[in-house]
Amino acid sequence: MKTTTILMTLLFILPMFILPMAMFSGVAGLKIIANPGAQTLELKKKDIRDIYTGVTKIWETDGKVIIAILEDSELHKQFLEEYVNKTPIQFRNYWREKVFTGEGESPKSFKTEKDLIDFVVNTKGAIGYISSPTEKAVTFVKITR
Amino acid sequence: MKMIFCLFVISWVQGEGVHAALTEEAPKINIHGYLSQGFLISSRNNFVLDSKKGTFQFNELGINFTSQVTDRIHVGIQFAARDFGDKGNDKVLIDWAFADYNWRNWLGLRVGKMKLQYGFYNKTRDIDMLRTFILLPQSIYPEIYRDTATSMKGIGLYGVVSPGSMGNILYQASIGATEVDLEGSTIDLFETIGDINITQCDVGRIFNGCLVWETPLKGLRAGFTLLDIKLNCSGVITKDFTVPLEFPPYAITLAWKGDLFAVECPKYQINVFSIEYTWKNLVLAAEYLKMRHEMKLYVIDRYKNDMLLTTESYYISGTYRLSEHIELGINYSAYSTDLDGKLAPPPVSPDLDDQKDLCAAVRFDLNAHWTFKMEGHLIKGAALCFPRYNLNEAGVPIFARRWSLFGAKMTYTF
Repeated sequence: MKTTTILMTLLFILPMFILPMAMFSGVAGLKIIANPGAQTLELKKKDIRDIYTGVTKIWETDGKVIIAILEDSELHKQFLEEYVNKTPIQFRNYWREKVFTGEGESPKSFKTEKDLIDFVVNTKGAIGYISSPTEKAVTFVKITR
Repeated sequence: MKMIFCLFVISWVQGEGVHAALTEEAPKINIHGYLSQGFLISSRNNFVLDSKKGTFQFNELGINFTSQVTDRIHVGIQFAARDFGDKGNDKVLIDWAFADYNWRNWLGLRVGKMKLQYGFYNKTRDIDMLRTFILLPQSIYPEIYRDTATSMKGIGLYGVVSPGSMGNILYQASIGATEVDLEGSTIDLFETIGDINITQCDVGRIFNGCLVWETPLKGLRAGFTLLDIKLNCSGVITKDFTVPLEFPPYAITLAWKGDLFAVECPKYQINVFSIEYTWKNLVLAAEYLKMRHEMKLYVIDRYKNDMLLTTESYYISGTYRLSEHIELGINYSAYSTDLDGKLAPPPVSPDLDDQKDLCAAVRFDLNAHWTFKMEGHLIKGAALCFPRYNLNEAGVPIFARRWSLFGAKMTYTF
């Protein structure tokens, strides 16, 4: 049993040193959009992660953050990998944890970018992401390092 | 219980007014739920009632109603029921019900009945859908104590601070009280190994604090949890209490069947250190728990004994998602306990002092709502096994040192 313990400890510890250097690549065309009322023009990648993990719930300029996602899409997968460091299943379960402990509501989920854009345009505090430009009245969020 | 429900209704009604005034819309009520049915079969020891024969008395269900009534106020209630052998029996309870005022990201307030936080996963142990394994590592999250480790009533503060490039520090601190079910598994355990009948148990105060550091290294988080409880119990001794001595008369009876007793626990403290690392589809986790339980036992005015129960446990765990539909997991957990006192009772069974468990699991996600899991355990020791289900003909708990457990479970979540 001692050997088992040592082996399993090594299995746990080694990847912590070997695996973390994940590549940091941008996703071509992916744009973060927000409701104009949010008045947030610049966010860091960490800010986006904090928003999409419910750590940041209130905008600095006041008002609740409302998250919009394009579930079951390749864009959703790319967005989560780039900004949230979660797979779609991990992200879904992460928010289920919030829902079933009473600590949050699931993100608003949309099937098409058009629906997501309409929601962001019409909902105070909303934030989302799209792959193609839009002429609708949204704020494009600039991502800074 | 009624107080919390009233609080919920009042918050809801008041919130509705505020929200309606702000948006001219009725607040939306969200409904979510889960239902799971499991099967357990064990060899040589009964993990739960009749598990050696295989049992389906292993299920959980819950439904919650939540509403964001204003930008900063969120209210909700969750009803839950479970069955675990002869415990729970699908009795519906309020799992949590609280009003949450999120003033700033760094400060929020919760009032009502909240989930108890210890370790990274206690809050979500009822929700099978959220993990790879059917049973959480038993050394840190034992089923036998589960009925007393779910929720607390009180008031709590929470928030997040982000000190520069150091990542995020999330905190939560709650104070309040909890109820102990006299028919529950924790009381059952103490009654069986202590030859007592507990007729009253009050938790005077409970403090629950939690710090989680989301480190700058993507996917790595570390945490510390503290549970500090003061409680008092009393009842009746059901068997003469005799302690062996090293000199004549070689044994002394300190208490007799029918004597009344009281136990004061001025300090019942649990500390848990947690670490979790996620890299793509791989999740590694480890937790270490130390429990210190100071007890003062009084048997009428005849006998007093100070005792100290300490527990040390840990586990390491790894899960890997092979595909959208399949996830694998393995964990190893170890638990050891020690009872010390001037005149500590003789050990009921040496197998109740420790337990080591190697578990391998597979999870199938049939779709976003349905999961099916299977897992096997190879176990040495029986410290976290229910003694009442392993009595010999003389009524004494008796265990096999090496035993195994297999579980399967299907869950639906919406």
